[in-house]
Amino acid sequence: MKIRETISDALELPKDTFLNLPRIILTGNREVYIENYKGIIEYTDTLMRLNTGARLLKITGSGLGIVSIGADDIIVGGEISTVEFV
Amino acid sequence: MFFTKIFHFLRGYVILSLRGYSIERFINICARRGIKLLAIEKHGKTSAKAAVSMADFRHIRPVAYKTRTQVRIHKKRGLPYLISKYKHRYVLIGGAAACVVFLAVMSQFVWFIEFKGVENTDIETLKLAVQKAGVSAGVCKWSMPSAVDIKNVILNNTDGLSWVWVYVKGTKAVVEVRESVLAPNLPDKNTPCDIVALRDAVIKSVTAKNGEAYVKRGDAVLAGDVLIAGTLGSEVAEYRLCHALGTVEAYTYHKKSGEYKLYREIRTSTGKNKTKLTLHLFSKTLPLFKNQNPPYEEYDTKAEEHQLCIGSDYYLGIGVSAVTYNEVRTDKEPISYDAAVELAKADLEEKIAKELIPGADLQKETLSHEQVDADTIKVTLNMDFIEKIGAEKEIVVNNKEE
Repeated sequence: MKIRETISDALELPKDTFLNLPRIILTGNREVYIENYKGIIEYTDTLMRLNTGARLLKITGSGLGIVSIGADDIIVGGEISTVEFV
Repeated sequence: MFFTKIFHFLRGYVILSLRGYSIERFINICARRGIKLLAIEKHGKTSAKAAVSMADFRHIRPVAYKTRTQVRIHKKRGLPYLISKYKHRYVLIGGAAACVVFLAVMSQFVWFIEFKGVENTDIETLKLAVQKAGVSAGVCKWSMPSAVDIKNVILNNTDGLSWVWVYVKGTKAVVEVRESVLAPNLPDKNTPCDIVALRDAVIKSVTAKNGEAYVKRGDAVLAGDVLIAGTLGSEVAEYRLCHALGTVEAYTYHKKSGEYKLYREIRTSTGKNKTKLTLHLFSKTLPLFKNQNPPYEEYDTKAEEHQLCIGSDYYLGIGVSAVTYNEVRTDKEPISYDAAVELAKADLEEKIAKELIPGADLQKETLSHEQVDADTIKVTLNMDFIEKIGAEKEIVVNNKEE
């Protein structure tokens, strides 16, 4: 991983594709778009845990729902309180 | 998002009710297999709702079986389901088709005529001219004469118009007119005339530019008296007529009085009201109530028009006008003596203002008032002005006598 990161830095390649990292776009506290995720681990209306490869992504809030889901991307809607890697 | 919703509506989708212990796994497998789940909402630990397109729904079964998730169709939404639901309701489809045909046919006629730019012209004369030109409510748009012909007929049958144009906008014929502006009536300098007094006054100053001043400062004159004469000459010389010109300023006195009440009448709604409807069917008017008389002795009215139209221009010839009669009660509210005097003064000033010559200059104002009875006062207002009281009056020469 360290070597890939060094190469990515040296060649100025985007890390999300080269290192297979998730790209997260947060729209206010209403919506979070996650690209390059691996799957849903746990889902309730107040908590969502997603597998993003190396780390787990934990989203908490209220009224959480999946607006749309595809093989590589997911849009989570609701009133989002926190987005953290655990 | 809006267009996505329309796209899903057109394609049709089902809302699924999911129940099981591995809903997350079910969602993951669906996502990996390319089954597009939308609007997933989790309800508790073991149940959720999700929308899926009609095309993807058939691929759900193996995933549900694999993850032991119970899938039930909660609702079916979208155009394909609506069509399958209503395709055997022939009367409804026939009604919708009849409605479309009705709208298409009705929009081929002119149902309303709008006049623009009419200020001084008699509207009834203009309406008759427009009707004579072949434009009336109920006429087919395609059978109307050409705009130039309509314009010529209207111009020939209406006085005081300089330009007319008629165009059709939706089911409305718009008659746009421009009225002629008449040339100002300029005094003819060759016509012999006197300057005479418009009202009784005491002369302040006389400036005669042409003609002979008959009055001087301090003279009292009556309305119609000659102030500057257009007849020049003397006993020894021959008389000569001219167009008298000049300015005469004079003190005028205006007095108005009236009796006023020491209360104000207030109209209060009693809460009772009745509405009378009239149906407008194409160019006919049909009252829906036999008795069209007002139902109350004292009332306020509110008129409303409801027209069946598409947009603002496509009136379809059917409308209802509603006149609402609200019953009112007149109550007397006492006002103070001073307030009554103020109101009376404003009223009397307004009355005097109507008599004044434009440019009048107020010099003095006197107000007197007295109580006539318990409810009534008498108010008298005297106002002194300086006014230009001169007006031209043509000298009529009687040739027979000469």
